[in-house]
Amino acid sequence: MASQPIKSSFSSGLSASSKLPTARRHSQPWLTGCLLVVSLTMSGCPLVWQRVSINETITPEAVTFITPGKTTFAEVVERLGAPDEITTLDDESTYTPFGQQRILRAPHTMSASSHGAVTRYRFIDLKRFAVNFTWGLQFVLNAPGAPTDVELEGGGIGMDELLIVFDSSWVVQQHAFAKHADASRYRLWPFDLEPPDDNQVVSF
Amino acid sequence: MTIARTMLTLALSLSLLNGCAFVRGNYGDNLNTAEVQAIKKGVTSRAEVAAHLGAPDRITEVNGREIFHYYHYDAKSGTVLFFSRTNVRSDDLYVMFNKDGIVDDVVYGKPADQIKFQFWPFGE
Repeated sequence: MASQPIKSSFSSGLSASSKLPTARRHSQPWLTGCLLVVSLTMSGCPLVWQRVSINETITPEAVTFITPGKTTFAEVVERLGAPDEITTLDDESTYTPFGQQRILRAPHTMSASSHGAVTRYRFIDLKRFAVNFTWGLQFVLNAPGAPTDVELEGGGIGMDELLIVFDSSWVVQQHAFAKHADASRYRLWPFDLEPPDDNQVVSF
Repeated sequence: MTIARTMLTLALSLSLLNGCAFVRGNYGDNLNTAEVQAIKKGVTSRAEVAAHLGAPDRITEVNGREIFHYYHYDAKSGTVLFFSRTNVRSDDLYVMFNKDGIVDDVVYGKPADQIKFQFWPFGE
């Protein structure tokens, strides 16, 4: 008799809550099993999202403190840390995002007076996406040479660089970004979607 | 039932670990802050710096000053299922000398926070 109230309360007052754990007990193995199947199915990596970051990105907002003719090397280092490279410059050199080159002046280049210095802060972001469209055939085709590795892959490397030119007193003369960071993106289709534009031909 | 569920959960956990990789690598010796602080401006000589920190990775001359450049790279990479992310950070030390070969300036920008192991390739 003592068990009756308990039984009745279990079957009436707690019926809703008692069904929920029961349902969960049944759904957990099912859910776990599904996750196991998905996990095992995907373990061959038919999809790949890969990203490589070298150094933290320096944004234009982070260099607003730089005032040409006023900001010193010490102040730059205090805010941005040590640069990746310090190089000298001379009268004939022009500084491009790809290094010091002896070339004629061109767009997107910087020059400075002699006996100064150039510091470079480099940061790179690489994104790659790949999908293997025939990966699933390995489960239905066991024939040797079956095309189970037909892959499309696309991505980009956004290599950006902040160049700061100092004069002989280590005061900032100019600064500029290379602005290639936007090149980093995940891309599914590696082919050109539009025909090349004939107007882009440049003649000298 | 409990044993079956445990086994299933264990199998799921192991399957999720399939293909997982956490890799760490570095290039060059880690620059010790205490060793850097031992370099005194106007006191320490070029030979003492070389004896203390070893030969520099690069020697350049900028603005009439000789510069010893020491660098170190640290990389951490994580891969889970089909997501992979690798973070690399450089750590640079510049020791500048005056014409007498005495330390004129030390530039050391050690990052405040360590790079993290990450596998999620999206976002920042």
